[in-house]
Amino acid sequence: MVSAAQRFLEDLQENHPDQVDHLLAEDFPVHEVEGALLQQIAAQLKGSQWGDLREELARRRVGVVLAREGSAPAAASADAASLMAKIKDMSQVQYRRLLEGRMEADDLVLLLKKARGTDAVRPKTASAETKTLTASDIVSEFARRNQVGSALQRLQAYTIEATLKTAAGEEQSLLLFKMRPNRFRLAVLKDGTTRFIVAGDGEHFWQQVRGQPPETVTADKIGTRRYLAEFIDPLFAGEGINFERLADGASGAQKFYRLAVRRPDGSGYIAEIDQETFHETGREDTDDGHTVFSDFRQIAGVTIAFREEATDREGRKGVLQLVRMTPNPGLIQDLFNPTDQPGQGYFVVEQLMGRAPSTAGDAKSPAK
Amino acid sequence: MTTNTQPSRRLDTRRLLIAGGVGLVLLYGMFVATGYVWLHFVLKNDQVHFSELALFRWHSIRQGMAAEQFAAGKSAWDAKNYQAAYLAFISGVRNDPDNVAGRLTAARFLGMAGAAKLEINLLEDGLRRSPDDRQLIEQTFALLTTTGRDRRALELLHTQYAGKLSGPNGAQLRTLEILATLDTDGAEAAAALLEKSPDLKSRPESAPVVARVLWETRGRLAAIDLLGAYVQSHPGEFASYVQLAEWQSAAGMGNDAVQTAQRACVQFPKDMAPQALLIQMLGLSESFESAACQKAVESFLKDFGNRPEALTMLAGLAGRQGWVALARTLYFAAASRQPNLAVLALSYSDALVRNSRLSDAQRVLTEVEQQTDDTNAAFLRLLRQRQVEVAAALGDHDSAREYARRLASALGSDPEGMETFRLRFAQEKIPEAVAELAGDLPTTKVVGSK
Repeated sequence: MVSAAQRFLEDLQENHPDQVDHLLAEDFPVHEVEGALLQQIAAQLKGSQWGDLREELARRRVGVVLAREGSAPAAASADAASLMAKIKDMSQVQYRRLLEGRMEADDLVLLLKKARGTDAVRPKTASAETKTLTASDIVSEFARRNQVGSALQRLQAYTIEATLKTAAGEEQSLLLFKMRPNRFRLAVLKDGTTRFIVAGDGEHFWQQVRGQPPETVTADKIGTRRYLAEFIDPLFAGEGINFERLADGASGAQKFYRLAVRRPDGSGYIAEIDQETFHETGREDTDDGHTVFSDFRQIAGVTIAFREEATDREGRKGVLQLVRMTPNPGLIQDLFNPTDQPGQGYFVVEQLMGRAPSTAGDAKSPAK
Repeated sequence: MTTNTQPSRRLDTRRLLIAGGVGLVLLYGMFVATGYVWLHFVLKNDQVHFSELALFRWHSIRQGMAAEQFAAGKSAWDAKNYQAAYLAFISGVRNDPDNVAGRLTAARFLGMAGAAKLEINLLEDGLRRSPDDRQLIEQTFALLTTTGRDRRALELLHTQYAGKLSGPNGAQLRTLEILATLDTDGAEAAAALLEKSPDLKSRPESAPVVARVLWETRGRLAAIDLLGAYVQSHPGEFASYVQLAEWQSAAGMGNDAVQTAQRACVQFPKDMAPQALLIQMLGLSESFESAACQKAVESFLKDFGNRPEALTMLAGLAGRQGWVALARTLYFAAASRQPNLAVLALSYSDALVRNSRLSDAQRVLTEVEQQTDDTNAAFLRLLRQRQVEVAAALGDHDSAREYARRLASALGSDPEGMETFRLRFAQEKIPEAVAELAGDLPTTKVVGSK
């Protein structure tokens, strides 16, 4: 238990440093951290003799989430038991992750959403047309239609290899690494060698230019790149994101829903969601820019747009074309931290290795 | 009254016989022609001649087909079309089970593909058909003794080859018996066997095994001298360079070890393993940070850095030697070149463990675990083994037991694998893992565990 408490406190220190000082205050919002504490306790209970206790902890954790959503305590407890049974039926792996305290809070919220969705009668396309969908309905339907089953749950990390043709006509290769919950590393390559790396975890960012040591940068300085920390399209996760339905739009024969997506930091954009496919086909940026997504493919059961055409307010166009997306490639946290090596280890090794063509991987994106 | 029915009946019979004969000839011709067209033009089998088909030389035809299939298998293997290679090799062995060269190539292919059991079955089946083929004996027993199946090797030697230990291949077989005994029953038992076969001490081909017995029985310098002489006389066997360099290094002869590795680099200039050996020996005799070692690393990366297997090999070495910075840098470098990084992450965790950074290693393993597919049994074994060892090193016995249970689940019905890991954990003194793999305790099946 000491270990669980220690990990809980570390977690609190890392994710909610402002709350640590008020830990012993009477008005400390215990309910907000109860789930995290239960998770840490479950993670400490190893061995088959704790099976029952782990189940009870998981059930209570689910109950906490339900209570936070507004359920009455008694109802939350009953619902939690039923949801646990559904999760068990749905995916033994996820059930086990939940029991072992290996499931993060945002994953749990999504999983519960899925578990509840399994019972609900799926709205048919026809009914979607006749019924007026709320923003929440559209987001739920987006999450359902853009993945196979609970594919997103299994996606813990991914790598994207892409080419970018900038508005100025310059061509670059990009390598983007992403890992839950919010880690990213973007390497910009030119002529086969890394020119620039930018990375972060949503709150702390660093960048490194070839020939120089890594430097910490502020969120302001990093600009919109900070949103690379969003593990996946906010329409999937929705944690802390606010959605508002706006007047529908149309582009030729294609009709789309328009949703205002607002992040907790106040930034946002308008998502255009195709009314038939529920693909996110476009984004309207606050600076009058517009992005069109196309070439939708399914990678590891999740729908991804392989082509993005961004047009800025002056009408200049940039095109991002994904070459390959590799799901769960075995990424580790260290990749997202600035190197503490005094030299330029990575750059030197890259230079030594030359730039022979990399081999095709097994996860090469399927043909169109 | 007389009738003339006799000649006409004879005529009918004759006509019938002629018609039948012509029909048979036509049928035969059609059969042979169709068979030839089918084999030659549809199956593209150039080795089958028309005469062989015409004379019904089935054995010869099947041999010809097999030769084509082995060649096709090799081409498909070179082209990395493994499915086609597998089918071609297996068909080749079926058509001509006595083609030893083809069988050996097929076995090597299976070994490369990680199908060790199939490889062993194929070779053992070959031994049953051609028990006196030296190459077959060598490859089969080399496989058995390098994959921890020494008991099986001894079983074969004491049953199938019991009467042949004094025959034409006797010296080879007795050498193999000593090697397998050394691995299973220890140096004393092997030395006792060697004493019974003094002729092996002067047999050049037996020198590596005799040297091993000497090494294990504390005749270290004599072992090094003997293997050194063997390397001089058999410069084409890389494994002996590795063994010699490791012994020299262990005996404090660092410079000699480096020289041995350098000789290997000269002997095999296009191979990466000798260069990796040189890096290892330079790192051991000087230090990883030494200019010579760094230069060797640079040279390795320049020569082989564009090959993913080279990065994996060097990262594996960095992991075993505990060179954290190199393992980490190689992981980063590989990230921009190859899609799957999980094996390199394991090497990095190995390096962390060697530096007693156990918590960091555990974190790396957990992150890799979260991205590992339940169906990837081969990788899961590598992962679980490390998870058991790290958890045990951290004193977290419950976790070690849990991971051992999941390892058992990944091993499935592989008693040999189970035994290998059980012995490993017994040597590492992780009793909770040994108990989980022993099968003498009721093992709770972990539902949904990876």
